[in-house]
Amino acid sequence: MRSITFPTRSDEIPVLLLAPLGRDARLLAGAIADRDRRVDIVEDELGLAHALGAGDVGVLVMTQEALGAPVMRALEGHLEAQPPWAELPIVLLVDAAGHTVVALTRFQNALPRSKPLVLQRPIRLSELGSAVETMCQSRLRQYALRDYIERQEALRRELNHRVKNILATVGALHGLTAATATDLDAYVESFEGRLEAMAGVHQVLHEGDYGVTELAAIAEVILSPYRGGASAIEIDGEPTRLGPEIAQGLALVLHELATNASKYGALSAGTGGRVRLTWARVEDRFEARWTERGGPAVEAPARSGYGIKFIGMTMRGYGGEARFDYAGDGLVVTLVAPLPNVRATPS
Amino acid sequence: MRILIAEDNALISMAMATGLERAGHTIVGPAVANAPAMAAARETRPDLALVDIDLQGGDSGFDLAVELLEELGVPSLFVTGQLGEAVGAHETPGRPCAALGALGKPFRIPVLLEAVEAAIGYAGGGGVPASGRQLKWFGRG
Repeated sequence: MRSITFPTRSDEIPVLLLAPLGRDARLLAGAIADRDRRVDIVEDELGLAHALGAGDVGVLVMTQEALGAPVMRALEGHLEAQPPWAELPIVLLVDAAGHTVVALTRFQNALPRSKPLVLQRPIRLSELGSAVETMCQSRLRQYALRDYIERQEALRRELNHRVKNILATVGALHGLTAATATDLDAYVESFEGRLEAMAGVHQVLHEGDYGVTELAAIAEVILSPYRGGASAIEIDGEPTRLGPEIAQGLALVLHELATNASKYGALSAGTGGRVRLTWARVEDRFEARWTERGGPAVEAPARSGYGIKFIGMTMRGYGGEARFDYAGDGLVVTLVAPLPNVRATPS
Repeated sequence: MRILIAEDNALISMAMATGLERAGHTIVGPAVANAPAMAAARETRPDLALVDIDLQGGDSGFDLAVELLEELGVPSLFVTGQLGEAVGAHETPGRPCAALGALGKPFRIPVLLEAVEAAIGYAGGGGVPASGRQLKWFGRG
């Protein structure tokens, strides 16, 4: 398919003039072709078919003399093949009263779906020029509609892709949670919490149109439900822009850390503990640290559950690692990855 | 079998890895982008790569499949939400994909395991497996 560049101004809309009489055609063309507008003249159905086939007829102006059967056939074929957004504007110049009805009837019989603008001669050239200008404006709106339809179609494809991705992610979440849950209640609690974290991160990503997001915004939306009461959460990191997938990955990592802390660590009820989340660029690495203080004494779990596995695998996926330090006075988790693998590429 | 996972969604790669490990496979990666995927593949020579088409940082799974095949002889199976695009790209005259085929997301783990078995058989010189709604195999052109 050949691609056509569509004009953005009405005086860039090319006009095709179909007039079998040479002198007449030149006179009419002169009236239409003021300013920047291109006017092509054709004399018969062959010229018409060629111009229509080339795809750059914006407005068609035709005289009554051109209304023969071969022209009608060429025009009919083109009009029927038009995309839904298009309706070729046609200006039909007819002779003085008496012949007008005959010409119009012939036109309407051949092309019942087309509604030409009919102008009766003699006509002032300025009047013809302004009629053509009106038709060009209408053609311009059709091109705008076409662009709009194209954008909508692109959005629809993108939405379909995102929905499939989300369904796949939720499916993965379900499978992983089911595989590690000890009973149905534990499954429901874990799954709902993780799904809620995904919903939170979706909201933040949506506000950024699924482009880049600040890590601080992600951390805030995930950790804010754990604030309140005596538990304190401090977030402190330099601006770090993330792409949508890693934003979701890190959000779920933070969710696992926060859930764990609220069950066993510094965010558990009545401990008055606190959590500090910091991150920074260290040489060419991204380094984040989750530090719990003031909670109950911690020790390494006997076997690693979903949370630890997920955190480790997420960071390995980015070419980095997660370190868990079960110091007596609180858990410290360090997340490291090469900066280029974490940070969104500038676009 | 050693299977490389190139996927930038952590949950999906972990679910794939867990399912494949339970079926007795060894996981290479997962990697989120082309460079770490190639690094892991050079080190461990996987038998098969499962490749998402849109990877971290704008990396293309189409390119990764070509690199894996040409440099290391590692065959790929695309795992993607854009099954139609993968098939369309393969059918574009003059540029067939380096991958064996494509599995559409979302999928269930048993479907993934079957696809992996079929891919290994196909890569080992077997005939083109039967395509389904969710799983398309590319002919050898």
